[in-house]
Amino acid sequence: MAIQKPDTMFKNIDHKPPRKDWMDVPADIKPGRYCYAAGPEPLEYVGMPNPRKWDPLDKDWKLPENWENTIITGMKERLEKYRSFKIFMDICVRCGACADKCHYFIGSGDPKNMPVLRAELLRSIYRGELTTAGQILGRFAGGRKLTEEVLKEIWYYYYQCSECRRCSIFCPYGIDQAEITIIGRELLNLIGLNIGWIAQPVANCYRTGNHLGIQPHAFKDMLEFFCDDIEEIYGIKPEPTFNKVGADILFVTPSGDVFADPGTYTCMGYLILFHYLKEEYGLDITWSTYASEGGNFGLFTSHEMMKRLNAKMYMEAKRLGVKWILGGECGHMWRVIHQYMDTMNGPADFLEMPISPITGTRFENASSTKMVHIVEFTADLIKNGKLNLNKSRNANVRATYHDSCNPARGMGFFDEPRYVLNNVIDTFHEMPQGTTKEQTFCCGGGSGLNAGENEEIRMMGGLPRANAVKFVHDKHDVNMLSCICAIDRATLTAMVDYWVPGVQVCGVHELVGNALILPGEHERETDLRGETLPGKEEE
Amino acid sequence: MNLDKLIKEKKTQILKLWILKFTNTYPEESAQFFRGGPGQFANPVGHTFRSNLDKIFDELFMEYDSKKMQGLVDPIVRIRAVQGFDPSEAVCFVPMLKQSVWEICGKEVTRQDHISEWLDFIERLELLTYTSFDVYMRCREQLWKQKAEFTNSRTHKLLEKANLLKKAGE
Repeated sequence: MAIQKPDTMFKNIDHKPPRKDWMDVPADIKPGRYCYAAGPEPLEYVGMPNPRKWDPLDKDWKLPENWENTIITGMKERLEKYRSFKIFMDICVRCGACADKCHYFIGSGDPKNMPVLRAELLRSIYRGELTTAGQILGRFAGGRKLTEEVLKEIWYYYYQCSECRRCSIFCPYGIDQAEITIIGRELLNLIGLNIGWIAQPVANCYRTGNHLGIQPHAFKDMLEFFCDDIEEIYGIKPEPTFNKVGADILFVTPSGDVFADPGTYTCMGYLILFHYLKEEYGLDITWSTYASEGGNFGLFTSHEMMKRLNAKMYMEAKRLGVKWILGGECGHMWRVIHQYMDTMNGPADFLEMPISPITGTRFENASSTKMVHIVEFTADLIKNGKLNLNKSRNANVRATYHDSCNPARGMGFFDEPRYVLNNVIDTFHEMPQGTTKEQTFCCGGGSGLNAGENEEIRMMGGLPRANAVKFVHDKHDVNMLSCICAIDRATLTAMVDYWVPGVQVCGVHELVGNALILPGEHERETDLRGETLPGKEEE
Repeated sequence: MNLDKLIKEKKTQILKLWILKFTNTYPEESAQFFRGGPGQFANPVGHTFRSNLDKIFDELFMEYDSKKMQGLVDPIVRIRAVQGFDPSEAVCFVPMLKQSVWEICGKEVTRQDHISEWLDFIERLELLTYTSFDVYMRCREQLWKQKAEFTNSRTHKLLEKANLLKKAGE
């Protein structure tokens, strides 16, 4: 039998997508890349518009009447209110410097995940609806009209941006796509277009105090459960206080640390540290069961919601009469504190200038927000020789460090975590240049995108980070990816499991907890994960 | 000249065409980036495709080592398995190699009567297809396993929290 030529055999198989102008390629909403929509209850609870049941795969999104006008008017208002938004809409010259810098584009190959094009989705509406040139020349001036199809496209891609800001550092004009996404999502929320994994946590944080809606007694139970575990390992049981009026410091951390592995081990690290500081220096740190969430899901909803949720921590600090606030290993909590809090709810004049009562260090950078990062606090304690550490308990750990986007690009927080790590572990390897510090890659699940149903886009978005982890894993046998963000800890765990098996994820304070020698502790056999310490293996 | 030698001699041309065909399964802008965007760390997808297709090409002419071949196929298929492709599209780089070799060497194959060697080559590609599907299925199963384990562990924790579990012997 004559062999058929491949040309003939494969003539009906064509994997090449058609070449079209981006405006003519409609958004194909694919399962695995979008998050489910929010039901009506969480929206009703916080008074957000158009609460209803809807499904992004349905043709009818049940939009309110006159929704076009709501979006256009909303955009107009924000162009006047936020100078950054106005500038970002006007000055892009489409040089393409940002195009290949987004982890979602790098991993997925979907051109609408190029930051320039993601911005253009909204910018084209601005031009087409609000500028004279765009209204007259339409597409020739890069403008288009706001239709239902265009709206769906904006929703789809604005919930595929993790607001990580990596693209912004490559833009010669400093255009910050995160700011555009924040306002894009704010506009979408005006007509009830959202995702459940943001709207539900917002309502839960507003009502109960944390994103899962865990009630105060359960929150307390969980921390006490950790204390029991610590007692088994150390022979010493920490006794944290809750909602204590007159404590020195209020501690607020993402609730993921309390309820989700491997963040729970980081949480145990905090408890051990606070117990040590109480025993050695009499420092009184209290936890709140009401302000029980550091993460601010309002940042992914609207400026107003961000302000409302941020205010809870400060109201609790005021109620308890503490001197200042200590913040846990969180990502977007710190972006909100560092970049927005001061002009939203600040300055927090009712609190004191944060000074470490143990070392006397004045945290000048927090003089207005009155909130200090726990890693900075611990680094200062180590620098001043105030912690008794035994690195050998982490001898099984060969770590690298993932610069979490928000503390890294949002705060310039690079050295303190590395300083702490180098004092609690022996083996540390940096990932390659271009993937760390200000150029760090997102975990793929930031800005409320670490839901279960969008796993594929998270895996694609996590690939650039995983690829760098794989490099140090292959080259230096790195087995631990440390980070300082609860969303990282949740997202990276599944991500490394797929891309780099053999690597685990931890918070920096888990390693601090392992290394810290508590006064009166018994000889330890295991680390906080219950894994046998080096030299303690049974013969 | 035998067929293997001929194909190996034309490696540069074949590889270029193969990478072109494979990256063309993406929209134009992305295809360009994957083909030419620099950097192992700035362009992991493009780098993996380019470097592993090159190595797979060489491996096809060595003694068959299934473990080694799986190691080369895995990074490519692992990426394709999460990019929303149908299974046949995810592993289409294998038939695309056949197409590329035929387009570059087809005339020689017919003229020099290399049919039996061509069939032998096709057989090797079939093995590559099987390997690719095995890896693809492993990746997809891993993703679903992760989801299932997440749900199981969450349910277990809730039951534990509600004191609804009693272990034997307690």
